[in-house]
Amino acid sequence: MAEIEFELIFALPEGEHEVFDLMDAVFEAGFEDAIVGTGVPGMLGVALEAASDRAEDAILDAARAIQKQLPEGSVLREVRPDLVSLADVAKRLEVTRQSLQKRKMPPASQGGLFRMEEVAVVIMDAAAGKGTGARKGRFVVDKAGKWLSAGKPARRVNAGLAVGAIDGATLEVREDARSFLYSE
Amino acid sequence: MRRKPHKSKEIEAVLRELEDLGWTVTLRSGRGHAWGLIRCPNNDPDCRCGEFCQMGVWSTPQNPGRFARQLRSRALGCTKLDNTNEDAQEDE
Repeated sequence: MAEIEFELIFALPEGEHEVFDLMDAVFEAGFEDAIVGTGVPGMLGVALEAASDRAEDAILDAARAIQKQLPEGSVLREVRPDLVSLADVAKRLEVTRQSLQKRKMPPASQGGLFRMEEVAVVIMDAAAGKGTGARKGRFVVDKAGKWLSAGKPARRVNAGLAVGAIDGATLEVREDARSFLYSE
Repeated sequence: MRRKPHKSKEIEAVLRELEDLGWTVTLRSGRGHAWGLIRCPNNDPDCRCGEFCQMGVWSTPQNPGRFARQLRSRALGCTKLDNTNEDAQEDE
């Protein structure tokens, strides 16, 4: 069972949306402990934890349940964490950014951000003291584990949304794209 | 006038801590599952918190303690907060 911590970002249809109604929608979807973010007009962020046999399904099942309750025309735009800054990761691990920079990090991806799944490998290895001569990092991976594990499925779902393998409006996965989404 | 406190002591403690840091708390006037909103004092377009610069507070979350911790952690997790003093921290 994959248990992950992630954020769903929905684009809302044009028009006025009462913030508290959006929160009620998330509640009705069954996520009564989720953190609901409404700081960007026209967008809704929901930070939550969910579990499923496949991590990608944990994301998509939660997104479908919430989307059903949102105003018609709401579209899943993005799943996080996909690309992260070292500052984001440092905050989660309760360390300084400089301490992360001491580690050999993967190459940056877009806009100087890093692919979460690649950073997660470095962090987990460092926490386990792996690598020749590497000092064991004092990272709080126990608390951040579910978040670190969400990078790969988040990136796959985002890729699926980007290329149309997942329909952002219905969140159905195209049949011929299932092997891509769920490949090991 | 002091606002109405949240029923959960854990959540109220976090709200007060965030208010001391400049966050504002807005209460819901009607009925529903949401109790109110908290809003970050930094109006920074470069902030990566995005949607989470304004967050909802539930009236009766299933696990108030956990919700309070998550709210606090997300609010204090803003990377804009301590870019200036992170040199002071040491972890290894």
